[in-house]
Amino acid sequence: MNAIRIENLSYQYPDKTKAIDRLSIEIPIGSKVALLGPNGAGKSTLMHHLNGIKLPQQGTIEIMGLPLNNKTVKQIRQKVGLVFQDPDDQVFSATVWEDVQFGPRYLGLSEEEIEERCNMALGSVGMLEYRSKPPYHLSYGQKKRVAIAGILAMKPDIVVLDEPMSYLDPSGQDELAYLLKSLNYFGKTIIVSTHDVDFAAAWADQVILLRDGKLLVTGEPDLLVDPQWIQEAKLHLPRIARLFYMLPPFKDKKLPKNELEASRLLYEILEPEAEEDRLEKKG
Amino acid sequence: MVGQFFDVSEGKAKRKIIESDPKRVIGLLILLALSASFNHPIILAGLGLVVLSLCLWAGISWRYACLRLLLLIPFGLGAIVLLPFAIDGTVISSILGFSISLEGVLLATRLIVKLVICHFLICLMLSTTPFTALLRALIRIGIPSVIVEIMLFTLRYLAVLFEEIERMILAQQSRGLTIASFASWSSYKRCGELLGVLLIRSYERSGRIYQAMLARGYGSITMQEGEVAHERHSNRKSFLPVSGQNESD
Repeated sequence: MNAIRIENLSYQYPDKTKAIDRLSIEIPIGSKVALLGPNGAGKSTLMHHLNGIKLPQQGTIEIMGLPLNNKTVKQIRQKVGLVFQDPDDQVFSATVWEDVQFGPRYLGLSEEEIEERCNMALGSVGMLEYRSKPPYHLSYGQKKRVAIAGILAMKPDIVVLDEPMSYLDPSGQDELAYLLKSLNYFGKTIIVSTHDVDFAAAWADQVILLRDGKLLVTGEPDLLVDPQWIQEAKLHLPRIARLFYMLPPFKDKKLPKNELEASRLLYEILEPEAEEDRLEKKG
Repeated sequence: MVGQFFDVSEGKAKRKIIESDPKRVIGLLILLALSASFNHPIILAGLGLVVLSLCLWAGISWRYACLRLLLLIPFGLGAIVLLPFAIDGTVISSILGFSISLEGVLLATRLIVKLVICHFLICLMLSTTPFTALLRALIRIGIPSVIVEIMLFTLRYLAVLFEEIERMILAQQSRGLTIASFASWSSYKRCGELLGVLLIRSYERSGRIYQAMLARGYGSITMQEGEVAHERHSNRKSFLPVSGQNESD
């Protein structure tokens, strides 16, 4: 079963801007998906649809087999957690603890269950010791973690994050990437909207490229080192791929999308015999 | 950080006076109402003594309470300075041809005493009651939850708003805005524009906050249904977003 199945989805804003145009996508359960495209490609509009903040004007969306409509929107919001780009928009309560409780309380859970979920959620993002802090005492990265904890406390099957890496410092980005990997390890389907091609290439197992509200292409992250698709999507190659793209010996080879692939490629060129031996042994 | 200015519960007291938050809030609000209603000097002196004793017993931070006293200046000083000149009665002195009346001086003194008593009562309440507990207590004693929510959001987002103003002013300063140029008409115009932009940004942010609330289930059940579900499990009356049980409870 797919976690998400979108068929012929279209959405037009009141000012007639067509944000999404006949979009069809399938996302398997347990996958790590990166949603990429230039500004105005329809990424945020699509993400709002996944959580039921916006309902389809045309086409259908199925979340874990459940069609999205007015009647199912409450159930859908339990299944899909949406983390907004700016944590100040999302973390609105007086303390961290209060904020993480917000979602579970709307599920009508018992006090014990709420407490257990909040402890679990704050623990998994490493923010348990900050539970009584007001949000304005936290750094941007910490607020981001609290925003994610607020979503995890609702125990969603799918977590959708809008530009999660924006404004984070490099170590904050690394920590968040690790957190997203561990969430996926525990069975969550993770969908991330991003402009960060390097992160997407290293992290995702499925990429979706959008442009002008339409699906350009979807598939494995190798698409991100294909200059043709990258150009079409108005993105740029990952840094490591760019370097290899500029060097003549690698021009006709498949570009590497991460450090591991890059080192293999270098090894293949510098030590061709050793690489052949390695492949033979592997074969 | 700008936000720390809004941390109203920073002056933590040593004792809570009354253990139950709602009872404490009601008790202090009654004292507040009495202080505002009575004019008799002996009653005011008695109330002052009670409040002082409570502050001493609770062990509030005097530095915190006295610093906050400065916040009263804009509200009280004007009236207190003008009253002795504005009220007719027995003239006791005159300055630059303006006469000072005894009744005016007494009224101004009474006003200062009332302001100071009320100020220390508020400090006592904020020092003994964590902010979220205070909001929950307000809901429990029948203040409409929408008003309490407005208080919560105001406090939460004042810090964000001030940070936004700071960023916008810095951005303008980086492009030539100086304090000296505030005296010019164009600077006033720029300030107006800044406030306009701030209003639009705040409006847009409110939309995003509402979307974030929707994303976590707000509105999927009505407030009343939520209360029922919550009551069923916890016997707590408040629901949103000051509903949670604080760890200090």
